[in-house]
Amino acid sequence: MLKGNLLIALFVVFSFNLLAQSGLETRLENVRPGQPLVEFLKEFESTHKIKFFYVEEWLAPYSMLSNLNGLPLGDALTILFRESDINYVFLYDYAVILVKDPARELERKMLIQKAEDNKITIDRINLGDKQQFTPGTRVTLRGTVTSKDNKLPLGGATIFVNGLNIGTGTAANGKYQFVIPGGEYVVSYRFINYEEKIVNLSIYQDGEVNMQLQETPLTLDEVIIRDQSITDRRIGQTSIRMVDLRRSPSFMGEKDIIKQLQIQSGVSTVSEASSGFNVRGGGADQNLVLYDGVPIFNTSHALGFFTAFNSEAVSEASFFKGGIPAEYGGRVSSVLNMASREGDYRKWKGSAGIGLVSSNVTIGGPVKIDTSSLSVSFRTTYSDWMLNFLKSRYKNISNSSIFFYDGSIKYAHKINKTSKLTLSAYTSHDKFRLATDTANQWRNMAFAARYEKSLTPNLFLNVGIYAGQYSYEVNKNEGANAFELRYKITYPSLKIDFNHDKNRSKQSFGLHTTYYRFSPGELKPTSSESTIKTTTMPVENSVESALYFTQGYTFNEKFDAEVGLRLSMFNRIGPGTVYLYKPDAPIEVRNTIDSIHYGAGEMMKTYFGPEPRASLRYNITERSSIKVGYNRIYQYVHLISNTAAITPVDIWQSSNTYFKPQMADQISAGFFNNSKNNMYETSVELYYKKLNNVLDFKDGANLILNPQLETSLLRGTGKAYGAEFSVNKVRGKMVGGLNYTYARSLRQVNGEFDSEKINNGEVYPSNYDQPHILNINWRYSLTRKVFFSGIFTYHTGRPLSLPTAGYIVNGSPISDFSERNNYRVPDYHRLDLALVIEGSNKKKKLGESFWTISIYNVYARKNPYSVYFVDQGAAVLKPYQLSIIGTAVPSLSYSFKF
Amino acid sequence: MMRLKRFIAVLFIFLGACVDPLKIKLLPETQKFVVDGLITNDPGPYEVKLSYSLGFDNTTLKKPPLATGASVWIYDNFNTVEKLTEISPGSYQTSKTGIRGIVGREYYIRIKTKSGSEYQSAPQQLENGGEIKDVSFQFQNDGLASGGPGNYVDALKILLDATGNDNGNNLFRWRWNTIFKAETFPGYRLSEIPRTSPVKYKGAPEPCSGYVSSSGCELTSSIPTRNCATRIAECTCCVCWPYGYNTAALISHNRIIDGHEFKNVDLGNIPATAMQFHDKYYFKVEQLSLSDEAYAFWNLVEKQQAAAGSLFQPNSAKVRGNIQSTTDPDEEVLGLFGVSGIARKEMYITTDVMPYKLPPIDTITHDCSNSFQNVYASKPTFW
Repeated sequence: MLKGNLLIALFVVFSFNLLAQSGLETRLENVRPGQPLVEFLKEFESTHKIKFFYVEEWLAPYSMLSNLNGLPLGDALTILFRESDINYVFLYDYAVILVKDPARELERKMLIQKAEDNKITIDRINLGDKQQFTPGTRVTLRGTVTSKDNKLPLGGATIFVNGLNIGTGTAANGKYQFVIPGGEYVVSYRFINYEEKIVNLSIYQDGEVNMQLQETPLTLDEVIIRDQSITDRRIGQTSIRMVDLRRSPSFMGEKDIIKQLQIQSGVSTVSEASSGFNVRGGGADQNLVLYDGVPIFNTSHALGFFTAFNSEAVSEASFFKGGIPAEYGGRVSSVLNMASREGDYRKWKGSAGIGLVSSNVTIGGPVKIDTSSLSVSFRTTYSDWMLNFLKSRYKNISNSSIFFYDGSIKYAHKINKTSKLTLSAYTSHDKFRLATDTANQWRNMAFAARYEKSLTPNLFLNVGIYAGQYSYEVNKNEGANAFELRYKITYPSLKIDFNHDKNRSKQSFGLHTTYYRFSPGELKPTSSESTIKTTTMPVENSVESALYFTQGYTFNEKFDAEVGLRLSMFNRIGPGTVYLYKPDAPIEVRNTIDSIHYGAGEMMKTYFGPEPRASLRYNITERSSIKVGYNRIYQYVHLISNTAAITPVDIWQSSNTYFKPQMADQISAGFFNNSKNNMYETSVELYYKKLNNVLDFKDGANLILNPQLETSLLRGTGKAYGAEFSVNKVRGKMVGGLNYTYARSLRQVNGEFDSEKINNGEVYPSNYDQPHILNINWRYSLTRKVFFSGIFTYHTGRPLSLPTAGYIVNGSPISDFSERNNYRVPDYHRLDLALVIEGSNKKKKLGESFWTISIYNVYARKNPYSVYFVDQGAAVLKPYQLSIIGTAVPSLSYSFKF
Repeated sequence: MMRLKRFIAVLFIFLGACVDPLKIKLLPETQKFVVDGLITNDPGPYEVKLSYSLGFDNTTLKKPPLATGASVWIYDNFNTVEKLTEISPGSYQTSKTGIRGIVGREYYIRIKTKSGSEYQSAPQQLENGGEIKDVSFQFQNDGLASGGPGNYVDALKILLDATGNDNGNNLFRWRWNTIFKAETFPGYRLSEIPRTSPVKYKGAPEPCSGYVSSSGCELTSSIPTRNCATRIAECTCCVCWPYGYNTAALISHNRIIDGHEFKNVDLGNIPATAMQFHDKYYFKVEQLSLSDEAYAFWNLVEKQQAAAGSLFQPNSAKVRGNIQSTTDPDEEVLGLFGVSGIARKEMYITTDVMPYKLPPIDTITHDCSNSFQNVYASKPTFW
C-alpha cells in the first residue's frame, strides 16, 4: 500500500516537475558547513516562499557542505543527494518534496526476506556511523574471503553489491576491494561449490569485511541471489558447477565433466564418443587438461565413452577458450583446470554412487582436527560382469573385456595460519580386450606436492612439484606375431607462482619448468615362435620452461585490463639422432643423406618464443560490457594421429629439429549483457585464430615405431574463426541456456614438393570443421528436490574423404579417394533427458540420497561413431556408418552421502 | 575387421549399435586415366593395360572403359625403345623378341592417347628379385570367409621365407596364384516336375554334360543322381581349372625386419576343401623387387586395404602412382608402370597339410565353368 502511494506521488510529482523550476533557482546564502540539513531547511523555509516536505529521519545523516554556498537550491540538493536514494521534486512553485526512491530499499528488503526464507545466514555488519557520514562520500570496502574448513584464501570468489549491481572477484590470495558510495547494501559472497554468504551491510566509512565460506553440502539447493554476472567474467572463461553436472542428463548415469563442457559454445566433439574435445576449431591435443596442476594426456575411459575424471572427486573446474592468462601455456587451444576435492577438517564424510557401468566412493575427513585432512576417491567398472553375463548367449564376446578404474587421493596440512601443504595423487587405468585379439591398456598417473604461503597480506606464494606419467601397452600373446608394444611419457615439473594484489593492481608472476622423457615405443616378441623383431625407439628428452608476468589493473568501475607475457623455451636434449635430408628434395626416407648423433645432455634444438596475452573489459553500462582478449601460445608436444578422433594408442611427439612448435594467435571480442537482475545473460563472441606449424599426416604414413617420423608428416598452417551467440537464464525455477556457434576450421598444407601438399596446396576443412553447432540445455525444478533436465545438441557432420572411383592394377582393386575432407558425415543431433531426485536438503542429516534417471538419445538418432569402408571385392570400397548408440539408452544411478 | 565385428557385437547388445550404408550424395567424378603395366627380367612379351577409372556405383572394376588406339613406348637407359602393339582393346604388348628387362638397367614408359594426351613415368632401375627360400602352409580352421556372413571354410595360411639382395633397396612385393582341377556333375541335374505333390523330380542334365533326360523317369528325392539321365556323348563341361590370386597388396615391411631376411611372412589364406585337393593343387608365388615409387604405391594400397573396417577410422589414403601427364601437369593420373626383378617358386600342395582325411567332393550339378569365380575352361599348358 505504501509502495503504491509513493509511486502515485512520484508520478504526479514528475509530471509537474518541468513546469515550475523558478523556485529552485534561488541561490543559497550563509551556508554553514556541518549544519544539519534539516536545520538548514527550516531556516530556509522561514526566509523564502518555499515549503519542504520530508521525513526527518531520512535526512538525518545529511549536513551542509561549504561548496554549496551560492549555488541555486536545485543544484545544491542534487549535489547533496548524489548517489543516494533520495530524490526531490518541485511543485506548485513553492513546494519541494523530498522523497526516498523506494526501489532500492524494497529490493534490499526483498533480498533479505528471500535469503531468510531459504535459511541463508545473513550477517548484519555496520561500518561507520550514519550520523557522522557525509552523504555522497565514497568509501572503500575491502577484505579477504577464506574457506571455513581450511582457513585458506579463496581466489576467484565473487562479491556482489546489490543495489549498485557491481561485482568483483577475489585475487588468488582471497582479497577484494570496492570503492562504493556509503549506504545500505546487501552484499553477497559466492564461490563455486561453496555456500553463499549474505551480508546486510551498512557502510559509512572505509572498512573491512572478511568472509569465511563453507563448502556446500552437495544437496544444498542453490540460492543464487546473484551469481558472478556474465559481464564480470574475463573473456572466454567458464566455470563448471558440480551441481549443474549432477543435475544434467548423462550417458549410462556417468557424470561427465568433459561432456558437460561440450555443451558450451565453441566446444565440440567429432563423433558420438570420442576421447578428445575440440575448442574453436583446434585439435584434441591442443587442450591443456590439468588435474591438480598436472597435465593429463588421456582424458577418457573406454575409448571415449566416459571421462577419466570422477566428478565426485573434483571440487572445481574452470575452462578457458580465449584470452588465456599467462600462467597457462603449452597447449594452444584451451585450458581445463580441475582441482580435486579436499577432505573436511572437522569430521569424516563420504559419498558413494552406483551406476550401470561403474561405482564410486569418496571419503574425506580430518587427520588432525582443523590441521590436516585426507580425501580419497575411487571409481571402477564392472562391465566385465555384464560381459560375462552375456557369454552364454554370444560366443563371440566370451573373451572380450572392458575394464577401467580411476582413483584420487589428497592430503592437506595447514602448517600455520599463513601456509599449507597439499599432497595429491591421481591415477586412471583402462584395459580393453576383444575376443582372441590383442589387449590394449593405458594409464595416467599424476602426483602433486604444493606449498602455499601468504608472504605478506598482499603477496601469496605457491610452489609445486609435480610428476606425471602416461603410458600404454598393446599385447598379443599367441601366434607367430605375438608381441608387446609399450609407450611411455614421464614428465616431472616444477612451478613457482607469486600473486600480488594491492588496491587496484594485481600481479602474478612465476616460473614453470617441465622435463619430458618420451619412450616412443618398444616392440618385443612375447612367444618363442614369434617372428617379431625387438625394436626399441630411442628415448627422447626435452625441457619446456616458461617465465611469466601478468599485470592487472582496474582503472575505474568501467574499465579494467590485464596484460601478460609468457616467455617459453623448449630444449630438445640428447642423446639423439637427427637425420639430414637432401636439401632440394622432399623429406623422405630415400632422401636421407646423413645423420648427426648427439651425446647425453647435448642441446639438439632450442626454441624460444614470447607469448603476449591480454584481456580487457569495459562496462558500457551496469549491465553490459565489451570484452577483448588476445593470446599467443606455443605448443611443444604434438599428438600424431591419422585418425579423426584421439585413440588411446596415438603417439605424442615432442618438438625437435623438424617438428617446430605449433603457434596459435587468437583474438576474441565479445559483447555481454545481463538483464532482469542478472537473470538472463546474453552474449556474442567473435574470434579469429591463426595456427602455424600444424602437423598433418602423409597418406599411408607409418606412425608407430618410426625413427624418421618427420618423413611421415607434413607441416601446414591453419585458421579458425567463428561467432558464438548464447542466451542463458541463470536463476529461477527454470534455468537453462541456448547457444549457437558458427565456426570454421581450415588447414593448408602447401609444401615445396608435390608429395608435401594436401589437396594440391589448397585450403581444406580440418577434421574438426563443424560450421553449425547448436546446444540447448535446461533444468526445471519441479520441487526443490526434484529436477527435470535436458540437453539437445546439434552439429554439422565433420568432414571426411570418401572413395569415389576405382581401378585395378596388377589384380588389386584400388579405390580412388576424393580430395582430403571433401565430404561430410551426416549431421549429429541428440536429445537427453534426466529426472534427478535429491533425497534431503538438510545439511546435518545422515544418508542423503540421490536418484538419477537418464535417457540418453531419447529419439534414438543413429549418429555415426565412425565411418568405415568395406571391401566389396573387385569394386570401390563401400562406406558404412557405425552408430554405436542406435537407440535410446535409459539408465538409473543411485548415490548417497554419509 | 575381426576386431570391429566383435566390438560391434558387444555394442549391439548394450546400446543397439548398428551399421548402415552411409547416405551421402557423391559428386560425379571425372574419369581418370589408368596405367597398369609391368616390365620384369623375365623374357617378354610385357603387357601394358590402359583404361579409365570407374565410378563408385559400378559393381565390378573388372570391365573399365578401355583406352584404345594409344601409342605406347618402353625405353631403357641404353637407348633401347620399343613401341607396343595393341593386341586387344586397351592391351598393349611388346614383341616376344623385343625389349628385355635386365637387372641394373632403367626403364620408363611413354604413352600418347588417341586424343593426343601424353603421359610418362620416371625412369626406374630394375633391381634383382632376390630369392624365395621356402613356402609353407599352415592349416586354419574356418580360416576364410565364404559366401554369406558367418560362412567359413577351412584354409591354408601361406608362410614365406625369402631373402633380398646384399645391396639395393630390398623393397619387395609378393603375388601368388593357385590353380586346381575341379570336377562337377552337370549330368546329374534334376528339375521339379510341375504340379506334383509331394514334389517329384525328373532328370534335367545340362546339354554340355553329354547326358540327356531319361524319359518317364521320376524321383521323389532331390539328391543328385544320374538315374534319370542317359549318357550319349562325352562331357565337355565337367572339369575345369579354377584359379585364385591375391588381391591384397603384399609388401615387405623392411622396418621391423632384420636385414633383408624375410621370415614367416604371412601372405594370406587360400581355401582348403576337398575340391581343391581333388586332383592337384598348384601354387605359385613370385617376389618382385620394387622401386621406391612403386613401393610407395603398393604401400598406399596396403594401407587402404588395412584401413577398411578399422574401428578408429583412419583417414584413408589417396594412392599416388608414378605416371605423370606431360601435356597437362595438373591432370591426376592413376596406376603404375612397374619395373621389377622377379623370383618365383611353384609347387603342388599335397593333402599332407590337412589335419584330417578329406571327405568326397560336393556333387555340383552345374557347368564347371559357371560354378567357380575365376576359371580356366581348358587345361593350363603346364598342367
